[in-house]
Amino acid sequence: MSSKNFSGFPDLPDLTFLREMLGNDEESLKEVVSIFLEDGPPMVKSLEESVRLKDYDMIKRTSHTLITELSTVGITSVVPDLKRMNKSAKDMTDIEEVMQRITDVVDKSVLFFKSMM
Amino acid sequence: MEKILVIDDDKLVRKVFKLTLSKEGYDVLEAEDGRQGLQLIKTENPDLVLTDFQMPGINGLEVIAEITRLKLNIPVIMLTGYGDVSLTIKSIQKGAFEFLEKPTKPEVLKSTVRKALDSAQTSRNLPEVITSEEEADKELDNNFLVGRTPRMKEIFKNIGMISMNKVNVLIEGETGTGKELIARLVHFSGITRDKPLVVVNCSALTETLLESELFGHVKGSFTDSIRDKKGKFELAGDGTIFLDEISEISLNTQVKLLRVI
Repeated sequence: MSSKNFSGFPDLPDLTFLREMLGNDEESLKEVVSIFLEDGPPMVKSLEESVRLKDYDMIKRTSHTLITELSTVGITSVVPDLKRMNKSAKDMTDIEEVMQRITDVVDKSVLFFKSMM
Repeated sequence: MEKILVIDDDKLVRKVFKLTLSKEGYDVLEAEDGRQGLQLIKTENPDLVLTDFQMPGINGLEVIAEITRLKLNIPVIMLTGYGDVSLTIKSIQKGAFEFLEKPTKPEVLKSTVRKALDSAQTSRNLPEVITSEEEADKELDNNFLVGRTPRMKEIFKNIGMISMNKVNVLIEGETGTGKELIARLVHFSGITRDKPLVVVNCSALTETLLESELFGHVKGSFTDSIRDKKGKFELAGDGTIFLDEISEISLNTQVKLLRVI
């Protein structure tokens, strides 16, 4: 199944980069996606918790890792939000709102990835 | 098969690098932190190391420092994430061959890996400083040039003339035509044969490192310069310094080089 089947849902993952990286090998793609399904959602949960606790060191660390993770699996629409968090979480007055958006997009992407497996 | 070690605490990143590089024909090993990485470096002797910068425990800089301390000639490519710019500079100063920002474009990854492996191979094959008369004779025997055509005879004549004078020599030619052999013949045939021959592969080093290699530095001249270091020019003394791949050096370094030669 291709991400292009989901046109009209701009927040869904774009797997172009990953496919290119893996030489269009669908098996390899699934291997990578399964690792994301295992590690990605708990990482987002951890970020949510850090936002709730206003643990800015942890926000910085987790957002840093998530930027790479989400960029790799093509969930790019929330990467600018994560970069903002990484840079200046303390000054963000809309941090809860932004966190909610990240959670929604990742949740939707997880469903999409599960449909691929 | 060339062996590459990927050190990263992010499983997904390790997997992507492993799958991508395996498809290129490399044997890829994985380590999930610096400690495990250093163990594999000692037991598996990889040809190249790709290491993440920020890891719990031993970080990427410490991995480079340990490789340097053990005098292992293994190039290291530093993997950096978002916002690691200042640390990136530090990693180059510490001796990383190159840094790559994650996620890395496949063509950039593949070409950087190839370049790092080739550079390491080249420097392994070339003795850095050759001084004795005996070694000079051996070098001459090993680096023979064949050819009876008028053009080759012309080259031999030129080598004869050049090697009896203290001059700068620019050797041009396509890859594989034997520029390095010519350079060695010039050195070992004439007045410099009992003096050091110092070889510097300009493409294997970043701008900052190349300058430090060529001109040396004194203790404290920059962060982490913990002792005085003689430059290759000083090491060559009255001998020859062979600047391999000189066309690869930056304009900035060219200006500095002009003041010396």
